[in-house]
Amino acid sequence: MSIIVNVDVMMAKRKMRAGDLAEKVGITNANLSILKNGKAKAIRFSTLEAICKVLDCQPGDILEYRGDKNEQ
Amino acid sequence: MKNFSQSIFTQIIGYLVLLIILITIAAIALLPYVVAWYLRDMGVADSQWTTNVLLGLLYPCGLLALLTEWEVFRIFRSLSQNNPFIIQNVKAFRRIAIYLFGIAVMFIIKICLLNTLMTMLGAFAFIVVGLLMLVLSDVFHQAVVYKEDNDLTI
Repeated sequence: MSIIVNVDVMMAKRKMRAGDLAEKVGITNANLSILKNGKAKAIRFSTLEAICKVLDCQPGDILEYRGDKNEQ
Repeated sequence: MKNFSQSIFTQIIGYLVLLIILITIAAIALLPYVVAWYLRDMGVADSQWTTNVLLGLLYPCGLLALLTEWEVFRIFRSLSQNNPFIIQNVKAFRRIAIYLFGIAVMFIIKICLLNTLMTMLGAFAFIVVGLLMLVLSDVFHQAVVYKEDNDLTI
């Protein structure tokens, strides 16, 4: 997928652990892991809003579009 | 969401499916006696050919019915674990359809050998229910895709 999730980069910048982020956002560790690994098919606006709020950042800091020439 | 497995109605259905499996096993085991009793009741007890035809058709029907009931039990078990929309159930419905078509074939053979109105109705009913199972299998397949999308939406 051409959408890259940079949650772990922002987490590192804010020095926040995965467990803490998951708890503050209100999602499970498993779901946060799916998001970080790029396996998620979609993200709810409410989840995105919560992540931005907790990490004090913009959606663009978390999500990035990277065009892939090899993509079908 | 209410836990499906907690419903008394669900437990009753579970026991009912198990009971039907046991009845089927008993019916298969006692089939020669049941056929003999049936033919005596019909007044054709001396016909060895009729007995052989009925036994030859009813044993495969019984085994196919047992396989169908086992698949129903497995689907039911996944339902009671609140996880019915899995690819295994899609395949199970497809297998049930095949088993039912198998029973319908037995009924069609019986139409050729020993026709009665109920045999014709039975064959028709098994074909219709088999088709219904194929449709249900496709519906479940669609549900599995939707569930996967939903599970991977964070």
